[in-house]
Amino acid sequence: MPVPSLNWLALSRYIFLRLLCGLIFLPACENKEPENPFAGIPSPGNNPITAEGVAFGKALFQSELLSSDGKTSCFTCHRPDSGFSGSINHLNPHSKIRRQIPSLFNLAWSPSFFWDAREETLESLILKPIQSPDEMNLSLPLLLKKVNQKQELKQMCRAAFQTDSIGTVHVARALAQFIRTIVQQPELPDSEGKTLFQKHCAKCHSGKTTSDFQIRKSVLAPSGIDSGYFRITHLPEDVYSFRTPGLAAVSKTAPYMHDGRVSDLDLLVKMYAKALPAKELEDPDKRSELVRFLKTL
Amino acid sequence: MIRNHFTTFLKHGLLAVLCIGLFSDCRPDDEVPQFVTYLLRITHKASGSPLVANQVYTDSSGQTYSVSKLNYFISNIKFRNKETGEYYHEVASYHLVNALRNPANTEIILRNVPRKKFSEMELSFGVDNSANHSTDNIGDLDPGNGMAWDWKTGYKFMELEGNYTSDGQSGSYLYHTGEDACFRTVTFSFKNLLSNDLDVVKDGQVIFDADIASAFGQPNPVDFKVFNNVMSASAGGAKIADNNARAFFKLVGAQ
Ligand code: HEC
Ligand code: HEC
Repeated sequence: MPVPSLNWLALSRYIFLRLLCGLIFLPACENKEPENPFAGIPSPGNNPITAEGVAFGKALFQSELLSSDGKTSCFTCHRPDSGFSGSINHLNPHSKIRRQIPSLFNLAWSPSFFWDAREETLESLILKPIQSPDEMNLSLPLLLKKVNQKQELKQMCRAAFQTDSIGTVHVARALAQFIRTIVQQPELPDSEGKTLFQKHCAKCHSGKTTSDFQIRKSVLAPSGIDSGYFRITHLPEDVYSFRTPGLAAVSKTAPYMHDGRVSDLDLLVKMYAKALPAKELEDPDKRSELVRFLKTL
Repeated sequence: MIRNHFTTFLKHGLLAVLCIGLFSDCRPDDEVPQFVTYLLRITHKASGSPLVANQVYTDSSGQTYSVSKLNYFISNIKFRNKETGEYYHEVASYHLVNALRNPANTEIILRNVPRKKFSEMELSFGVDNSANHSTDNIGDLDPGNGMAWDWKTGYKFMELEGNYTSDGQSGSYLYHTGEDACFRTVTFSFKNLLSNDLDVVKDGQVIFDADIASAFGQPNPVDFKVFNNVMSASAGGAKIADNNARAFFKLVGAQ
């Protein structure tokens, strides 16, 4: 049964107050109305972004309770100082993870998730790393038991969803809300690097999110072990296809590509110059202009 | 919401006034309820015998099999009268059945069935498109129930697992169906069973036999030696779904 909006209480309270303000016409009321800082961020109708939901999601994101070893949080892999990404080279050598840890910027605008686009909503994705044996390895019943023993988390759940009995749906919605608020879309001044980017890269890395999030064959020949989107569709044309990633904070998210095969941006642009091909980018000066621009994203 | 309550309140109020004022013998005790409750009872079987976890059965082509896990979704339960067009559709109709929990008598409660005559019943195996493209759901669809796929968004429609022997070879099998391509809708005629419509007048029940041998039978008979690991629609899930749509449920009683 799909959940009706859990926020109806908050909503009706809000509407009631608005009505009151409107009726009595207190200008002070209008001034107190805080500007919604999440207004421009898309979110599904049944999970609107609220300050309380984001606070709860952030607490969960940094909580080691979400792992079976009690030592791993989402931050362990999605490191804030690395643009919420990380290198799998830092993980336990027994880990079966073969794909790089993507950054989490601007995902509110993406229609699909993971390198192979196999997930359709953030709310659905969230519970996968928690349960995956190679990530946090915690069963959902155990997760609920653990989080429901923490008074702070229960209070945050009440503030966000009007119940302090934390269910899977609340964990998923709160984490999804928090992830949607990880936004970086700088307005950058014109420069030679920007022009080069528009010309050679923005066909796929387009718009404010620096990605159209479409699934396509990797321009730089991949290492060939990971068949990408083919694993989902089994269509021959999808072999080695991946979702185009956004490039926010790209200077902090090395190594690059789903398999981490490109170690730094200079090398990356050199490889693109050959593969696209873009004759212009064979000029080292132009390349460094482009790299300088990439570092400001 | 508020308006609805208000109109209901008004209606009831008017009704009460009418009752008291005009028909002084109108007492609520005499009212026949407009809606009743129906039980959908499922008796699970395997090749004609009662289904028991890990017991060995023989399928129609002589292979043996046991069942160690059988979980599946039933959804969109409807009663319909093909002549009058009268219709009952259970609200938020998603039911996860763990067949081994109580194989001989799994019960699903259908509430608010109108007191009407119905010629047929319809149900679906699996989860429809509208709920299968996000797992942000509660109740039987809560991902905590273990039926969300781990490799994509959506639900497993059926988990069927166990052991087999086939031509002297033995091993385990695992059939997980799911994805929109495995969604199947089946209808059952009350007319055929009762030689009449089902006349819903009071609480009642509809009884099904569910023989899981269907999964291995027609139209896509299973050779366990070569077909024993299915985790998507395209890898064979759709064939299992076709087999089950044809013969898993059999309507055996309605009263
Ligand atoms: C052990 C390391 C690890 C941990 C812990 C981890 N992740 Fe991830 N995360 C990854 C990897 C690797 C991927 C890419 C997987 C793929 O694409 O197949 C990923 C991908 C994602 C994505 C998709 C990003 C995109 O661009 O599509 C999201 C969202 C995400 N993780 C959220 C989380 C959340 C929330 C948590 C905590 C509950 C978490 N992760 C914990 C390693 C991790
Ligand atoms: C034809 C579409 C296309 C064009 C043009 C393109 N890219 Fe990409 N880009 C992709 C795809 C698809 C991926 C993911 C491939 C993979 O993981 O194997 C990607 C990945 C990347 C990554 C890795 C990001 C990460 O988080 O690991 C960077 C950086 C990048 N591109 C920069 C550029 C630059 C700079 C240009 C212009 C010189 C460019 N791209 C042109 C499609 C494109």
